Amino acid sequence: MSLLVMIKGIRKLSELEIDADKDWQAKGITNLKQVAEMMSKGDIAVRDTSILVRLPPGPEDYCLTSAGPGKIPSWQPKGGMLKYYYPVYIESARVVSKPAVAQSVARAAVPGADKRFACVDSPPDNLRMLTPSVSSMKSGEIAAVNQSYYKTAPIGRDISILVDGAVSETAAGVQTDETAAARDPATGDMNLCPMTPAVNDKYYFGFDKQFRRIWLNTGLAGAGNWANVFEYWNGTAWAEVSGEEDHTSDFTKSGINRIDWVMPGDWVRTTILGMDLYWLRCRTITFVNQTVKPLGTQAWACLLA
Amino acid sequence: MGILAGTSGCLLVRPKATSKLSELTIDTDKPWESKCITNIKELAEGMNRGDMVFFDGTGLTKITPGPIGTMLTAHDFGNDLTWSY
Repeated sequence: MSLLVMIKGIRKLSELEIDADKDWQAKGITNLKQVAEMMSKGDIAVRDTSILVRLPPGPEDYCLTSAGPGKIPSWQPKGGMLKYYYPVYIESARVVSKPAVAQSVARAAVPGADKRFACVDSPPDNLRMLTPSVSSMKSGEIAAVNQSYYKTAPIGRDISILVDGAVSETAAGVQTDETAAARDPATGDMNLCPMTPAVNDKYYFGFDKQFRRIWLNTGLAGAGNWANVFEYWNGTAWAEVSGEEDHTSDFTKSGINRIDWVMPGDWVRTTILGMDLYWLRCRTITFVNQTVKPLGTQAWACLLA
Repeated sequence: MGILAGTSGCLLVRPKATSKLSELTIDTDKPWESKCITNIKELAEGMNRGDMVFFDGTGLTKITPGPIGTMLTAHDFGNDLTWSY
């Protein structure tokens, strides 16, 4: 008896019954035609709900785009889902027209002040020096000056204020208070010379501060031949001022004219007819005749000429 | 293994045949000769819907879908694929 051992097993893969999942033990399976049914060139194997299926290639230049966990990816246009669902373009640049800068400023300039105006964002070469434009004030807006107010007038300003005192004196020494006449605007009520003029006739101008100029408004110019000098009280005697400039020409010129002198260093106050002031007097030193008696209207003392 | 009497008085030893994949011992790599294997559940362990496979340098591995809107992006040769915006 011979022993015939015949091994009956499958010889072909087609005879193999696929009846279970198989752990391939890290072994390779190569040269596979496809792992999903009906695969073609470019197909990708992707797991579907239960088995691997093929994912065909998308259109030209599309990208494989995730649809999220648990969903099969799909081919989408470049730019991803954002572009697909929101087909708008967001520009990265924004152009805004630059507002024009005003090159000039119309602003009322203070007369006499050097004003510079410039826009905040204006370049340096746009700085402009504006010539102050002086607007003429309406006549109705000119405020009347209180000419009697002098107590607080600061010394050093070139201002003229009505005299605080005025006294006429005859050669015989008779004095008459003409303060009111010198301060009011009534024409020709100041008797610059006595009724009977003579040498040593005097006319006093008084003020609370030292002053070095008198503005005299001569309402009626005198006529005749005489000469005056101007004197101040130095504490001891009446002394003639230096640098005298009598633009009234001894009261023979009408209108407002000035009388200047050099401020004496020793000028002190004295009292005339009860008025304690700095006094400057005009004294007649020569007298020939007088055809027209000069009359004054108003007199001002000037603190700084 | 069964022992049968042959028609000529010989002894026939027939080993148990293997005809099922479950009975097949995986002991070697297998070129598949360009034949098809279809209806596969997975090629990498624990695949779920949307997963794909790629070779990670050692074996096939799965790549799970990225967040919605991300794109499968390459990072030059020899590197893994990733999902990115």
